[in-house]
Amino acid sequence: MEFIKDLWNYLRERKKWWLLPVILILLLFGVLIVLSSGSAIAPFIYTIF
Amino acid sequence: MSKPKVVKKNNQPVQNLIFKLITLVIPVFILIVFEAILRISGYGANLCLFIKNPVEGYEQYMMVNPEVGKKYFQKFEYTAPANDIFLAEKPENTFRIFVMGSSTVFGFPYERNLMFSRILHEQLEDAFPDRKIEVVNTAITAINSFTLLDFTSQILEHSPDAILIYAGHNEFYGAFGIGSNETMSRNRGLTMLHISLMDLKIYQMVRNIITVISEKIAAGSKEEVHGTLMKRMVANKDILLGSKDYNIAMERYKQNMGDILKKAGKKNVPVFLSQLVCNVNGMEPFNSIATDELEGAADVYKKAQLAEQNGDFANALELYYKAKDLDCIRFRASEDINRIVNELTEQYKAYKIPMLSVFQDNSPNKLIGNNLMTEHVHPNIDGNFLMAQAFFDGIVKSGVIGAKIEDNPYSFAYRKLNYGYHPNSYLDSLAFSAVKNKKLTLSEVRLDLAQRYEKEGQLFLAFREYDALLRINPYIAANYRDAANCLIQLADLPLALKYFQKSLEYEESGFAKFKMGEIYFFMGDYNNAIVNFEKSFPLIPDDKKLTVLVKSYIACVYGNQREKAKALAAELKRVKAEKYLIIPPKKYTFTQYIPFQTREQVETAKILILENAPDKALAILESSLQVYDSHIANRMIGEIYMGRQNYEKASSYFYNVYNQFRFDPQFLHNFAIIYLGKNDNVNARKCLEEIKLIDPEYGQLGEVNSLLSSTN
Repeated sequence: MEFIKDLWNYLRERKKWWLLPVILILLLFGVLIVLSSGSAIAPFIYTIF
Repeated sequence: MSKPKVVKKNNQPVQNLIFKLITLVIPVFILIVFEAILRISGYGANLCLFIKNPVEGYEQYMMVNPEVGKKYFQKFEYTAPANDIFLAEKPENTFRIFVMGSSTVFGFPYERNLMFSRILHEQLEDAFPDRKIEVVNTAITAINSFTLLDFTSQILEHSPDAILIYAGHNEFYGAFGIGSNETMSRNRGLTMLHISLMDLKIYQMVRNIITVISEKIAAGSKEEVHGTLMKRMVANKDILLGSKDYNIAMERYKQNMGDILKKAGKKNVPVFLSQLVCNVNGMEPFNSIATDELEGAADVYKKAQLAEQNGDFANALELYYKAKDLDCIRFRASEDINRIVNELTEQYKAYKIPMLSVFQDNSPNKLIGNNLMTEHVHPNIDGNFLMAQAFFDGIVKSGVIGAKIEDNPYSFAYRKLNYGYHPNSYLDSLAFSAVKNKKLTLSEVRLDLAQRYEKEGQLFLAFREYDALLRINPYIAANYRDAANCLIQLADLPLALKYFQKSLEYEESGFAKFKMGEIYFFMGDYNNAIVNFEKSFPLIPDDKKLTVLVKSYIACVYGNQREKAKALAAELKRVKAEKYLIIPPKKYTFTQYIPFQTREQVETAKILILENAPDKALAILESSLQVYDSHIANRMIGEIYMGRQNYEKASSYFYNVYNQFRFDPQFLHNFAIIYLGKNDNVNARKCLEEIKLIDPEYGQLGEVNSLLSSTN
């Protein structure tokens, strides 16, 4: 949280708003990756038999 | 004088708009530049399905990318796809097939030599000898229809003539399956977006960063992670029949497979979609949950067993399938998947492979069990052969490959007998050492074993090992040459010729060309012999060149190529090898090469014919064809039928081996008699004229001439 606060303050005070879309896109990528990181279970079945 | 009034144009809003646009474009530009930098610097993996073959000498081929699985699996090891290759530039006469699926298509739990696609490849090559057949297996274990959909566009870029699909068992627990992921897989759009974005290096980088962070967080509790996962598998992965998750998975399968068929349909590529099969009576349900609406799978399974014991097989069949569908751990596809396959093939005019009925018809009382399955879903050896047969029949029936040129006389049993490796105890011990020593691959063990057998003179065993290696990796020229070399010594010249020809598809070799020349020489095909000797000459080592010269000279003399013979004689004189100019008289020896597989039967039959017992000889020869379809046995059977004046049957056997014996005047003479017996004067005349061409000094030329005049 501290990091996000710092980042926000940096953007606001230095008026680097053009960086915001880049950060947002990377953030969205991260969310998508975390959501998709479920595990395929099927490979485990091969070790059972 | 008053100052002129200056009218100031207000540009502020336009400027603002431009600045805003620039502000918006800059981040996009930054991302594009960043992506370009990552690509140029070679960051991340190439996740395309096909890549150029990096092996020296194979640059003209594409191959299935061994790393493509990284796109779909983040945490777990996945199996690299099979090592199938295909020509980047598709030759005109090629029939190119791509096979899609998962572990079953990959041939699990066997080596790659038992993938049904390999068996099918051979079947098609046998049935369509005039076409170049390419079968490319793209299967990776534990993938499902999402991955297949992602593969489809890339497959369609490589001009397929057909796509074969056997998939559906991994819809629940495979990559992006509903049972593998609680959140993402419910949203098809997000899953597809994720798969598409994986082609971006930036996205890969973000994934790698997240993986590193999550691994650091999880460090020290690895056992717990695995334990939890296994627990989750049995405890939280229950998916009840007709539940929300179940219905979502069915819908996803239908949408993904439908999209695959739609994409292929747009490019007019025929798709052969197979029904799924699994072990129903040899596997108890993995987990059983009874509810108010649904019976427990275990109870239904017991009822099915009881019905089977009581001989009520129809009821047992129904109950076994019901038990399988009620099984809450969904490693076996439910019959709803097969219903979807039936619907989709109907809707998109795809070809349905009726795998279910094929397997049921080959199971006692139609109950598919351990007779055809190794465990829950993977077919055993017989099962893999059946799958290949089902796809073969489907392809031939569809007509997409054209009219079948050769009858495919090989039965299921015949093909199995002559395919792959038959283990013995010595191999078992070696296989054990390969399992024990993880660094040693089974292919390396087999190669060692083959070379050892060859040195010891156990050529049959050596050949079987080389042959097994070829089934594992059919693209290594050296293995074809080694196998063919054994075959020459085992007297199977036609098969040796085929293997040498195959080796040349992948690598130039003076040795292969020289040996092919020798085989053509023994067959009496001196023209082809000379051509191959000539081609081999610049490629072979200097110390062997004299042998090639001498053999070329003999072939030229025997083949009546006088000018070439003169030139070669001069060359032999120049290198002071005049002694080789004295050559033995021409003698046709090809009939003395009796392939090893049924040599004993053929020799016995020869003796029986001499003892005037053709009936017994015929019975032995006909049974020998069930073991091995040798050219010599076919010819002898034809001759027996000719002696009985059964010209119809005689001609069919002679026709089978015409290519092998077409330079034997005695064979042509007999064939002419057979044609005359069938009142086919045109073909009889052709045979007789061929005799005059290939052997003007044939001993029975007088008889040939009188036969010729009778055909006028």
